[in-house]
Amino acid sequence: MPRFEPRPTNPFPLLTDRADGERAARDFPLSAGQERLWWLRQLDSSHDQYHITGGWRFPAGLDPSAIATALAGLARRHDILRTRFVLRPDGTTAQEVAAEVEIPVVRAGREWRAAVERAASEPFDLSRPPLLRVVAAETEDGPGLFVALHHIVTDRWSMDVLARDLFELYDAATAGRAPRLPELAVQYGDYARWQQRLLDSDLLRPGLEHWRRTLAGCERLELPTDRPRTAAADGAGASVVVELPEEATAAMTAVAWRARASPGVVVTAALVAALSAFTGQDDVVIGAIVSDRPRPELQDLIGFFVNTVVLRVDASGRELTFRDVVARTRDVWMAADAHQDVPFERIVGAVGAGAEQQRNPIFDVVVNHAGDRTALAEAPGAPTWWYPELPVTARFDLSLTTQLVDGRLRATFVYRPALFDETTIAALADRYIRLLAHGAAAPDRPLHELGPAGESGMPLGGEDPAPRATVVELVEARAALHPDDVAVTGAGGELSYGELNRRANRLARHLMERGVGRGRVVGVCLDQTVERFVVLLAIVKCGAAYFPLDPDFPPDRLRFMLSDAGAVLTIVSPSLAHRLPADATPLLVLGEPDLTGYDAGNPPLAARPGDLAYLISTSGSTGAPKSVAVPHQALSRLVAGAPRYLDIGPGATFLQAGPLTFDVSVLEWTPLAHGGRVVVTGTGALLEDLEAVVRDHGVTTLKLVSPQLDLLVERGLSALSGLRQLVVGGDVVNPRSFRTARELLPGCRVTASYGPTECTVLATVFDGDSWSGRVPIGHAIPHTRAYVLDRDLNPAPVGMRGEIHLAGDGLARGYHGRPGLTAQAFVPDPYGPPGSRMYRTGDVGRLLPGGAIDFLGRADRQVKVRGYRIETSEIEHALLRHGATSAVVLRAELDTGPALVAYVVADESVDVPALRGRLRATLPAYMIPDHLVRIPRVPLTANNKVDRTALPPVTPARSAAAAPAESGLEARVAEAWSEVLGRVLAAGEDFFDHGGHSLLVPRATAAVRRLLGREVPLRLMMRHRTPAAYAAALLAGSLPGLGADSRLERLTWHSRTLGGERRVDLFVPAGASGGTRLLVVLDGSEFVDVMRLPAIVDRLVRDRGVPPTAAVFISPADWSSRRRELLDEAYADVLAHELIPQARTWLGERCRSGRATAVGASLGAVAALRAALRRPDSFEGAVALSGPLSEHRLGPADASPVSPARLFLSASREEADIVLDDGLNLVEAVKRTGEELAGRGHEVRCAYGDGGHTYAAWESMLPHAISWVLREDRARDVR
Amino acid sequence: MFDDGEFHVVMNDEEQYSIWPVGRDIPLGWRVAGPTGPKSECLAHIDAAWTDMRPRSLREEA
Amino acid sequence: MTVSQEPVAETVRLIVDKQLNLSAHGYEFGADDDLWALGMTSLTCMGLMLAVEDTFRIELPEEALKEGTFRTVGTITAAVEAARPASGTKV
Repeated sequence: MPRFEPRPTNPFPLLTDRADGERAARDFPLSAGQERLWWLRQLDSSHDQYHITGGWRFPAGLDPSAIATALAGLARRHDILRTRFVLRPDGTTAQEVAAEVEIPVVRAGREWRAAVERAASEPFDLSRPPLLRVVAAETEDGPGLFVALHHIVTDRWSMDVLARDLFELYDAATAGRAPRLPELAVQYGDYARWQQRLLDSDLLRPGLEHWRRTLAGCERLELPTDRPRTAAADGAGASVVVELPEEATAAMTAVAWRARASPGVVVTAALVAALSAFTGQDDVVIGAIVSDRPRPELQDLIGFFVNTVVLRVDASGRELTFRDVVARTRDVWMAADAHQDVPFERIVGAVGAGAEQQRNPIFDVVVNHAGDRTALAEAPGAPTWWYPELPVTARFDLSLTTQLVDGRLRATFVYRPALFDETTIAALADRYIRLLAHGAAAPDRPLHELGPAGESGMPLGGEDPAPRATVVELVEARAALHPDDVAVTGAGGELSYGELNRRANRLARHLMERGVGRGRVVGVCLDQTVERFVVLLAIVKCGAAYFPLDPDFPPDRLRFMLSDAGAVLTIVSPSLAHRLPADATPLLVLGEPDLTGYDAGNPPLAARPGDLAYLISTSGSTGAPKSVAVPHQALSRLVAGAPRYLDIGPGATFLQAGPLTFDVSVLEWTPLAHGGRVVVTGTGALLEDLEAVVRDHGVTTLKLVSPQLDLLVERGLSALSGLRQLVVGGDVVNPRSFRTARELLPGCRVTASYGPTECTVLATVFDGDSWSGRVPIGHAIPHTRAYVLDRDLNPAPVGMRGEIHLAGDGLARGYHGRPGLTAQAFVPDPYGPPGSRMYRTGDVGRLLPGGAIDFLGRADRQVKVRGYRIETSEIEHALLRHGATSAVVLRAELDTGPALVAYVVADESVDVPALRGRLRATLPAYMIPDHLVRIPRVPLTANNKVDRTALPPVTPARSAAAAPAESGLEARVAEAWSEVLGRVLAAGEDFFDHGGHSLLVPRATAAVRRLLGREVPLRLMMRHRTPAAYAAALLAGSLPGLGADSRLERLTWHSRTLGGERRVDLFVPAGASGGTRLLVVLDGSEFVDVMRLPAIVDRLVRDRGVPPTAAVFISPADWSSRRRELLDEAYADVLAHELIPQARTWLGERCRSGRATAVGASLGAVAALRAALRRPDSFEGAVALSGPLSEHRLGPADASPVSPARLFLSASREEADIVLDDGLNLVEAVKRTGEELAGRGHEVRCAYGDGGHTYAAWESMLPHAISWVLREDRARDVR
Repeated sequence: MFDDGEFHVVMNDEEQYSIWPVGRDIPLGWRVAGPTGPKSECLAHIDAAWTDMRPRSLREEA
Repeated sequence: MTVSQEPVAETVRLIVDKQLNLSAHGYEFGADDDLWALGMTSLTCMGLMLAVEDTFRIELPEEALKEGTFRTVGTITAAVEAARPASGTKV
């Protein structure tokens, strides 16, 4: 029996310092839960999902003045109702209690519906108490009172308290007596402060450790949605309610006790099991809402006393029973309960779960078990609960609230209709309640015995007996009936049925002479001419199987394949003969043997239904060869049922645009068996000849794979306007292309198809009229069964994902020569006739209402990146919607870690890098690919799957994490954020991946605000999560603002003396000439990017405030060396010796050879002054903003005569708070330095402004500084 | 279901082999025809035993 | 803790105190004080049940499995004594 650590005690006293009767305003910190709610409110101010409502009917009437008195009393009693929530400038939050607050009542009378809805949904301004709205209504059943509060001041328990207090106050008011309510020892603020002391102490460290351990490596539970997620926020919700009958509820409670669990645990366990089945994931992570009033003093308070905890339950195990799940859930619950004091945000930070704007960082599903503590006063005439109908809001993708009502368990599932259809959630709810009932009745039976639900809808594909006639017989029959009908047409002419049959007969007899017969395999390597069918038909007439070979494979590979297949002969077209190894099998080159002597009549029927018709290789050009061996009966079944969904009878002309080595080519037998016509000809690698072919041969029925459709949609579908049917198959049909085809080809039947080679070309087809999101793969074709099975091989109910299994007469025999591989792929079919098999496709799908199957992707195409399980096809679809022709998205392991890479095929006009920006508008941030690579086409394997090995590898330009900051602003942001995080964060690193969480955002933003000196929205950090991206976003709005002929250039400079590559910006004003002056600006990137000094100088020059002046902005090579460099005593020399001459070279003869003026701020001010004071040969002046001037020796060491310089010094008045090492504050330091320098004979101007040690302050000082220091009218001589 | 755990080697009337997870009822028409154990062991047995992959009824027609 | 030496009630009291963190919070509680009123929740009640069964090496019978059994130290003690084998003292 495991030992559980009890919850740590908060050792601090829970006290109030509120004197009796005193109602002074005071402030408190927010509780952890309140902070979370406050933050959520910041993220989205347009609609708020965190309102709590309550309503009561007053059968005895509602006295307005009494209720007003009662409400006032309520507000006086509970400080929380008089509280406002504010953000301090340093980024911390606080709650302030006002002395008095009035609670207005909206008297809505009979027209209360609108007022109630407005009260419930209008967002609250958290800084304006009361966060409570009251509506008095006249309902049909008498007076009612409705209240709406923001969750930050209440919870469900509080609503009971509110009701009790309110009614007592009301009663007392009407009766004219004093209210009798329990004394409140403390108020909510005291609780928050008490909790804060615990959080600030070290006592929760073990708790944080517990969570870190418990959640290590956990993955998000991915609910299969009916519609893809978008980036848009949507609080709209809908609900499904199910109930457990009384008897079952009682059984459940008994099971709970017996399992040493509570009903809340059992209810959660059932959810865990249901979700595990629904998602196919064993590792179930959900959230739980826990009401927490850890001390009796808190029980009578109104306030937010709710904790959010994470429950991670292992639902794995084939023989898992309900009791097992309950026990595991109980253990998890108890541990979570013991560690619930650790604020949720800290848990998020500790596991690096990141922050997604619209989703909870760890879970999407939440469980909330309410007890049955909703007893209102029982006295007659007492108010009763009133629930006016209100729109449902969803706070999570899915939440389950359970309650005991009259002895029955009521389970309410609230979900987001934007993501889920009602039928899907209803199916989940149904499974849930049945699981609960089954578990309560038989807790020790394995859960998988629960069996299929009522509406599992096993789709069956027609029960006609399997057709026995082979294609040989069918073609021979056609040839006998209509010998002159054209069978095959294309390159090389055309063949009638009669002619085709005769030629095939002759060849067959020749082949039989050469040993071809039943059970044999013949390799074929043929070009796309009509002769092809002569060969294939001849081979099957012998009873042998044909095996297509790709002429582009290396000869060694072909040799291997032929030998592995045991081929006795290979038939090859003359043009391809040289591609085949001569020594693999005997070769027969078409046309060489003289067949005229052979009998042209049908040979005796050789092929039995069980004999193989063909082999198709599915392993591509590398890897162990794997060929699917397909018997005649499978082919017959394809052919026999085809007319039901394919237009291939007499009068139809069929074309499929793929090589013989793809199993799609097998479809060509279908028109041949039914009297239609097949076109065999090349269409070009990119289908460039398709139009001509379709036109010239009058193609009526065209089969394409999805990428080919995309290509044609790009080019325009006009060539296909005469088609009667277009069938698109392959992996995932692009919904956009499919819809376009439907729209642009109104007379054409556009069909989607699905089928692996192992099920003989096709398994399902879709002809339906409507779909949402993905194009379904439809219903099984005749003589085929398609199942969607869950992990226990039970049919998955409608909406739940499972693996697609195929059964019926279309199954291949197996993999040729691979018994083990065959055995594990073709397994017994529990739902078919005795002894039948089913093929495990490895594809994930689910049943839609109506029975069509929705293909969700390969099981191996769900990738895990950044803790999320991502369906790559969703990203691919999004790329397709935004203009890509084709896309493949993979997870790649790069040096920098796992990354999402998108390979995109697109028209030249499409800006591939810009696609990422467009994706941001539709996809959640975690689904945005890290790299987008353009490719000319998607490489495919022989099996028509994407050939991943042929995709170009991605080499990221440089490791994002280690990259140094590119600009001063980036570096400063990184510094500020590092300080908030308590660890070093590089410019390219994501704040949220390195321990940050949403509650630190206000502080991090406040730090940046302090830097810039202007407002920055909190939300910016949610979208730009690295210092580099954030800095770029901050600058995005600001233009350089230069005039037409001015120039700003960025260079990279390698300094010999200083070392390192550094950024240098050059500004040349319009009209620069030989007489141009020069500014040398230190920390250049910040002066350019943030303070926009070039624009300032440009304007000054234009306004003739200063003479034409150029500027060179020099930045440190990297941030870490900045301080050392700027303060280095020799720095001024480097500027003089190396930089200035270099700058003159860059600027050319437009820069006069006079002296320059140095500009700097903060430490840069020190360096600038030094330049002017120590190198008067090169510098004639300096601008020094907010420098710690008294901390460093500015002038030269020796007592050389002073060469007067022009020096501008400034500070902000607020900088008097900055105390320097020598005890002076910064303002005093500037003043004193100014006086000293003036005393030495320099021309000095000191200016004091506002704004603190910020960019904004310096920016506003610069015009004054620059114009003063550069103005012309000064005397050159020393004064 | 087929990813881990123990399996039976099973065979149907056509003498086609396959595997089936231990603990689940074996579907009609199939019987145990080999070792029970981890998947790799079952498949190794099948690789050795299932030499002629033609269905029995086809072999008997010949 | 040697189960046999101490009176059952005293042991139960210690278990309750540890599981519910009572004296650490500064609470005094007697044998008849309502534990639910002192902040026990259904979860902590479960923990209490497990601890009691574990410590005394008993399995509470069906009729004892209800809220009332865990209402006070007294009721828990009674249930434990009823569930223990009659004669066993030394273990």
